[in-house]
Amino acid sequence: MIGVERRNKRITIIVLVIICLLLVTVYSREGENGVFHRIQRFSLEIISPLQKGVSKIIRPMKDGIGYFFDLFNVSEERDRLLEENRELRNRLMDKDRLEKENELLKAMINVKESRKSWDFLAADVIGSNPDNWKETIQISAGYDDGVLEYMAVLNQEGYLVGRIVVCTAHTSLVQLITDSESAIGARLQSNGEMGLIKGEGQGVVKLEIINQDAVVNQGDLVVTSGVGGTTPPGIPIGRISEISERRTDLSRGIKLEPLANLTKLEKVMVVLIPAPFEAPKKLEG
Amino acid sequence: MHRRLVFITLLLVTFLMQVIVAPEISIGKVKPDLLVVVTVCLGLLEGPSTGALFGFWGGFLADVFSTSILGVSAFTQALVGFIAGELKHRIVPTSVIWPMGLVFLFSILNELVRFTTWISVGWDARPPFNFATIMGIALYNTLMTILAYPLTRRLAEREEELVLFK
Repeated sequence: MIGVERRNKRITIIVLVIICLLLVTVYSREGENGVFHRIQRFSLEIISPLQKGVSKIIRPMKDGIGYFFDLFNVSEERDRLLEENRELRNRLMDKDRLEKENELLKAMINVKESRKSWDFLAADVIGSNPDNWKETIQISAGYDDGVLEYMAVLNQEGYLVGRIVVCTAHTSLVQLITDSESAIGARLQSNGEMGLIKGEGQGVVKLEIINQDAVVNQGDLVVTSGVGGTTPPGIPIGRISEISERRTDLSRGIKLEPLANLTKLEKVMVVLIPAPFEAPKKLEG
Repeated sequence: MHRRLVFITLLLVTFLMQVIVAPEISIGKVKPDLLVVVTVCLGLLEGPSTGALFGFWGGFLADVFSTSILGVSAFTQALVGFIAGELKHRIVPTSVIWPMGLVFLFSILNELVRFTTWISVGWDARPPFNFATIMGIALYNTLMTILAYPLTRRLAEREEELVLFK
């Protein structure tokens, strides 16, 4: 009895293996349009709607399980996202900074293009004077970069900012045109009348014109005259903003609004050539 | 008659679960092979003939509803069912641990035989061999045995009772 059962089992498996071999052989030999291939394609068509239906039913459950497992990773994920956020903010800030720098440099190139015979050196503003009464800034260029005392300093748009007054190997101190010790030769662009611009402190610049009867109008452009030998001629300084009544000495108080925004300086240009050929005369009083 | 009905019902239910539910409960790219799980469980409970027959028909259906070579799964699963059935009288599972271990081993065997057969018949479109995936399938199948083995045993015992009291 046991022998018969064992034989039946063997027969079963042998028959099944033979059937399988036949199936594999026939399937492998028939073409894409063979019976078995067509049955397979037909079967897939039948099962697809069922799969879709079940998928729709199961999807919310799967999502629910997914959310549950996600809870374990929430803290880690939050830390990662915070870190990523910080990194992206930094990158964005870098991008903004670079864009701004790019704009500054483009403006500087324009200035250079408009004054081809001049030689400039771009420098970063690295600090300002802590003294409330001195209007100076510190820049990142010094003797080693070819900077000399009394060289003119312009902003990125080519407007006069001031003059180098102290120079070290790698940094320099720029006296702004608003500083009370600053005095630079100037003239009116409209009629060429000569004068001197003097800083009054607290952001004010005054024009002392030689010919007291000269025609001066509000909004007139004042440029450097080149007299004195420190700043080259033709650099825009500012526009006349206020003309007061004649004083007892018949002089007029003329104030001007600097064209350069002296409170927002990031990069400046030092005029290397033409270089100053004379130290400014010390102002009396 | 009743025995056949139970067999066919179990076969169809397992097959439908494999085709419809298994893809939805995949972990990563690994889906459980419920037909292999039930084939091994049934082989262990019912012997080599039932195991081989269930494996054959389950594999055949899986082949028909796929795009791989017809007869390969039928062959591998029939073989797995037969060998599992041969262990019926050698191992008496008192808990689900033994079937789990055997399902793990037979799942690996099933996949290895499947790849060997594909290579033997020169099927060029066969998927690339990846042992990590095979291990994943084996582990997932082992996990599914916790559910599948008690259910299959219950069905087999009930069927035995019905046969006894007929």
